[in-house]
Amino acid sequence: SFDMRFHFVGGLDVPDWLLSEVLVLSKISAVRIRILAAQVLQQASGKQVPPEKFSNLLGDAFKPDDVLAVVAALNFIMLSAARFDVQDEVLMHELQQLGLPREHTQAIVNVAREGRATLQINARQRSLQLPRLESLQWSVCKDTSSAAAHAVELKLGLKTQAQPTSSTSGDPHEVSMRMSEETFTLLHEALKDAKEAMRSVI
Amino acid sequence: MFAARFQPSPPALSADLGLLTKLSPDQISEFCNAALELLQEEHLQQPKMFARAARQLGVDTNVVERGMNALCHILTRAAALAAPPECLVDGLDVTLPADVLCKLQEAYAGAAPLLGQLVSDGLQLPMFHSLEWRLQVQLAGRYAPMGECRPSFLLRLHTREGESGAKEQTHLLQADVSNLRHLTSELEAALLEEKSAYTRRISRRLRS
Repeated sequence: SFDMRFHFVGGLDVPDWLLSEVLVLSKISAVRIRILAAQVLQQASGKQVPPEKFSNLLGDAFKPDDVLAVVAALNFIMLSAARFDVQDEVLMHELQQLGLPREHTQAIVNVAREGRATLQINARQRSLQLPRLESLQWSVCKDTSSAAAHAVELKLGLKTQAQPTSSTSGDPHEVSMRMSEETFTLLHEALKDAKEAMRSVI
Repeated sequence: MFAARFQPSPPALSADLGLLTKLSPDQISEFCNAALELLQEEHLQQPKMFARAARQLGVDTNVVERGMNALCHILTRAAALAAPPECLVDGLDVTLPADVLCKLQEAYAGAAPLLGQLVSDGLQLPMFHSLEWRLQVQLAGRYAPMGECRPSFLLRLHTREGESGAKEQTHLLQADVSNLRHLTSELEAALLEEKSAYTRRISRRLRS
C-alpha cells in the first residue's frame, strides 16, 4: 500500500477504502463520473438530491451500498481538496497516481474547481463549534431603597450550530441573568483582560 | 437468547384464551393491537386499560388480564421460534375455534417484524452515531499561566438509542492530546482483537 504523503488529504496517507473505490470509479465512464460529481457537489452544498438520481446513473449493476460508496468517494475527494486548498495541477497529479484515468481525473478536478468556494464555506459551517453569541441586551436596575442594591440584567442570544445528524437547524435560544453591581464589575474586568489577551495574540 | 419479556408458559393457557372465543372478530383485532402495544410499552397503564375492557365485555378484570397475558405469550413465543403464522399455536396445548385462530394468525403475520425486533433486542444501549472533533489551542485564560499554549481536542459525540434511533443524545467532551492518543491506541487494539485467533475460533463456533 502507498506510504506516500498526499496533499489532497492534508499530507497524510490516503485511506484504504478510497484506494479500493478508485478502482470502482475507473470502471465507470468518464461522462457519468462528471455528472455524478456535479450531483455530489449539489448535495454537499446543502441541496437535496434524491438517491434515485445516483442509482439511475449507475445502473442495476450497482447495489444501494455500492452507490453510497461511489458517492462517498467523490464527496471525500472534492471536500478534501477544498479543505486543504489544493491546486488543480496537484489534484490532477495525485488522483492519477492513485490509478484514476486521466479523463476521470479531469472531470472531477473541473467540478471540484467550480465548487471549491462553496465547499469551503460549507466545511467552515460544519466545523465543530460551541454556541455563538448573536445578540446582547443589557439593562441596569437601580435600587432606590436605602440598600442601593443595584443590579445588571443581561440577555444573551445564542445560536447553536446546525447538527449534521438531526434535521433541525440550530435554534437560537436566550440566556438571561441578573447580577449584583460587584459581580458585574468582576465580569467586566475579566472581559477586559480577555480582550487585551486577544489583542496581544493577534 | 430469549428476551426478558419471554415468560414461561402460564398454567391454564387454554382457559385464559377462552376469553377470546367470546369476542367478535373486530374485538379480537382490537385485543391483538392492545397486546402488541402492551409488549412495546411495558409500563403502560395496565389496570385502567383492563378495567375498561372488562366493563365493556362484562367480565372480571383479571379474566381480561390473563387473556391478554396469554395472547402476549403466544405471540412472543412464536416470534422467538421464528414460527410461520400457520404454526402459531403448534406445540401448545390449546384449542381455539378456527375463526379466532385465523384472526390471531393474521395479527401475528402483520406484526411479525415488530415482534422479531422485540424478542431479539434484550437490552437497548445507546449506539455510536457520529463524532465531530476539532483541535484547539488555548492561548490565554483567566487563571492560565502566561505564555503557555495548551493544545486540546474538543469532541462532540452523537449517540442514538431505541428502535429506529428514536432517542438522540449529544455529548460535548474535551480531551488533551496524550489522552486522546491513548484512547485511539486502545480502540485500535480493540479492532485488532477482532482478528485474533481466539475471536476467530469463537465466531466459527457461533456460525456453525
